[in-house]
Amino acid sequence: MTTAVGASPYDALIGRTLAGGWTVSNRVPLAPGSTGGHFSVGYNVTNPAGETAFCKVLDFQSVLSAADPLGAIQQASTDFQHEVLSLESCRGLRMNRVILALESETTADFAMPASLLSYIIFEPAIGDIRAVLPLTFSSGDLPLRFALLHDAAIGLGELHGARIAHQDIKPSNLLAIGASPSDVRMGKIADLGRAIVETRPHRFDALEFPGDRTYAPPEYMYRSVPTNDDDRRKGADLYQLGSLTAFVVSGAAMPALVKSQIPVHLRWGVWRGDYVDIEPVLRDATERAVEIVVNSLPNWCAAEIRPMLLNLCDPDPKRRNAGATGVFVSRFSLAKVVSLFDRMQKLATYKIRATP
Amino acid sequence: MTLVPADRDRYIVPRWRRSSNAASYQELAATRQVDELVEGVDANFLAREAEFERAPGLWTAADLISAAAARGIETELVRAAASVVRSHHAPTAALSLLIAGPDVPTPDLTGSPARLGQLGDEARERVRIARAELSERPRNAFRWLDLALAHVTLGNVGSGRRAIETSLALAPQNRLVLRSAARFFVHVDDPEQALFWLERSQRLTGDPWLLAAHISVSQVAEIPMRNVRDARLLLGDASIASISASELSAAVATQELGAGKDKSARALMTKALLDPTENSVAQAIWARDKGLSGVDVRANAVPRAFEADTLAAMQTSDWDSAQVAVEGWLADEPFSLRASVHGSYIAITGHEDYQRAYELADFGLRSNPGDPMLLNNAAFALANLGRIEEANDLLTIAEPEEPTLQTLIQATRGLVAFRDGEVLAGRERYRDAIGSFIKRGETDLAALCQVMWTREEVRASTDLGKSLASQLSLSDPRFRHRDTSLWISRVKTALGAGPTRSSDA
Repeated sequence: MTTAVGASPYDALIGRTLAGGWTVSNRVPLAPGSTGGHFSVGYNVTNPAGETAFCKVLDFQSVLSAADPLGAIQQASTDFQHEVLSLESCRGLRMNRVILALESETTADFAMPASLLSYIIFEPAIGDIRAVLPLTFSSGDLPLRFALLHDAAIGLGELHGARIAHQDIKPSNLLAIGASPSDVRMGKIADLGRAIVETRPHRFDALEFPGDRTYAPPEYMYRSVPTNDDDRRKGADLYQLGSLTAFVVSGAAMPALVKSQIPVHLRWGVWRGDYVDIEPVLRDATERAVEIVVNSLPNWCAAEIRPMLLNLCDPDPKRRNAGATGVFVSRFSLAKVVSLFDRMQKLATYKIRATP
Repeated sequence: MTLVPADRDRYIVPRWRRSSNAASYQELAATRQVDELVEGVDANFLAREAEFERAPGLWTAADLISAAAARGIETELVRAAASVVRSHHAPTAALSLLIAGPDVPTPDLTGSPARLGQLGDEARERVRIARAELSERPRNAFRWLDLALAHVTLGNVGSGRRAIETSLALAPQNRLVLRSAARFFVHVDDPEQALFWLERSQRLTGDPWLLAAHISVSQVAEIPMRNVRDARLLLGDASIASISASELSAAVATQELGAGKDKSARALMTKALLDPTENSVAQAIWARDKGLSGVDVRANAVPRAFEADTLAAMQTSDWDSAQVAVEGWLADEPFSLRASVHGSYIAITGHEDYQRAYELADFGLRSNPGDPMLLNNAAFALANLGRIEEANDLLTIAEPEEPTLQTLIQATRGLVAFRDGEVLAGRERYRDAIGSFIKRGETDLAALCQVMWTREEVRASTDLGKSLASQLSLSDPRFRHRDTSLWISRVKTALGAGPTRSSDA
């Protein structure tokens, strides 16, 4: 499928200065599956200091061409508002590993479809991690990989601290911040478009799993939704963090690998039954998948990453990340994960330096 | 002499195989019939495709490949992404695995005929591997099951019990765990414990697999069935897949057969065979041998039906096929008492291969120490191999409670005495055994015992031998059992006179 960037009435924004002094420079293609991809157009914006940021504009033209325009307008506006409010919460809490909105605005604009202009300007990033990860799987790249994962874990912890479950942690939603692909300063979690906010009801609350099923935990693939809200939402985020780790380390996402280790007639999409019956099969498959993932790592590192992955990707949502549990520590705490990635990054750096 | 006592009763107790065995997975199937779900292309997948097309690098390719593998789909762009990854100088094992296509884990070949020595070695190796894995990942309930199975195969019942109990603690509601545990507890003669765990499950009355296990274990324990109404409800539920209802139907059919309700038993057994498990097929073949007519059962109705193949081959005296099948059965369920008993019986009766018979009985004794039938078969084989002292030792250990087995061992003592040159003592023991069989009305066994006694007299070239042999007539209804007839033929051959009906007359 191609993503042609055809003409849009919003291209009239090019050259125009928006809130915060950001000037729209050029159109950026939005993938159809990105949040609001059907109802959004993207532009690069620059500020007087020469910084480039990304501006997501709500595409009312597409909204109006939907089968039920009124319903679509209501839904698109609510989703947009949900994302804006979530981002504002994050900014209020000074999250520093989550991509924040620099500006957002909804104004009347008679030159635009529906006479409305709604947009969010996000803080600048080089791109998602797929644009900056090295093209090798050597030990020399490990510091960068672990640094990015470390930041992802911090970002997720920040969100959970604000009672926000991201629900769509994946490579395209971990952005690299820095001067250039060879000079990455940190990673930040992006796209709260599918987030579940405990304190603010939204239509996504009713969805079993609002995120990308490529990275969904297996219980959802087998249509078994945990009854406990934390297991359901934060638990899914933990699994996705594990899956992201597998991807960054080995190039393969956890669900795909796990599925490859399940006998064909027991795989999701084919098998139906009680999750309690399939869970040990998944545990077995997960253990094998984790072995395949850590196979890409040096031994000193594999020994540490293996248990963490097994914990994060535990097929039993009630046991997920159980290794983090302590007397005063919630099972959903990411402190141990953050600490481990930090240690791995430092160790990898040290080992590179120590290698003659 | 030897016989197959298990032929008298058979209950459809769940199988217990290695968890990775494809046949075990059959038990995990959905209880109710469901349409196949198809994972399709969605907006997220299209996004991955679009990103790869726009920037066809290693990481967008890898992401697309994961998206495709998770959904089980393949498109032109996914193939292009695989090419990108392949052109990369050193893709990881994980990526290589995904681009190799939808792989299928190699099915466990447990169940293929294997040498007995290999089974023991394999069990030891499995204990070692499982323990190593469990020390790192102790929450794998299936691994604990496998560890228990390996322990039980080696005769380490105590370690097996601890492993089973751990597995139950980890996954007390899992069907495979519960059914395997039920089989374990029946094996260690503790069916009440099996019932305890099955009854603890909230799924018991709604799951035909668990209910089948509960009924069969109740039958073994000779406890009245408590869930007949639930069983009938489930069997009447058209939404339950035939394979899921198969063992439950066979279990209730067995109950009906025992109660003399042949019509009901026939209907239930026919239902059990609509889409049967191999266990159901074996049960139906056993039931047919017990006189249940009008049930169309073929041993080859399902693959790897080792027990069913064994029983069917024995019923037609196809001993070569029986030998192959029973060794498959033993490899499939290495701890099974019935497999070892059948195996040693087939080697003795079908092939007079006493070395093999001894090995099979000896292997079975490892998992079933002290079992009087296996001790008897091993002693019978050893006596025929001329290893009198060892045979005597085994018979000394045997302490059967069942009168039939006591008499059987008395007959084998007669054989051992003959082979030891103690003709008078042997004769006395055979006479004693025949008298006991007759006293209990077991005329078929008395007849077989008489044939075996004659065999020894003929072998010892006594005068009594010829006289006894002349009494062996194939037309005598007492000797009509196919295996007894086979022994008569051998005695006649040994005498130099072929087993012809004219001479018998």
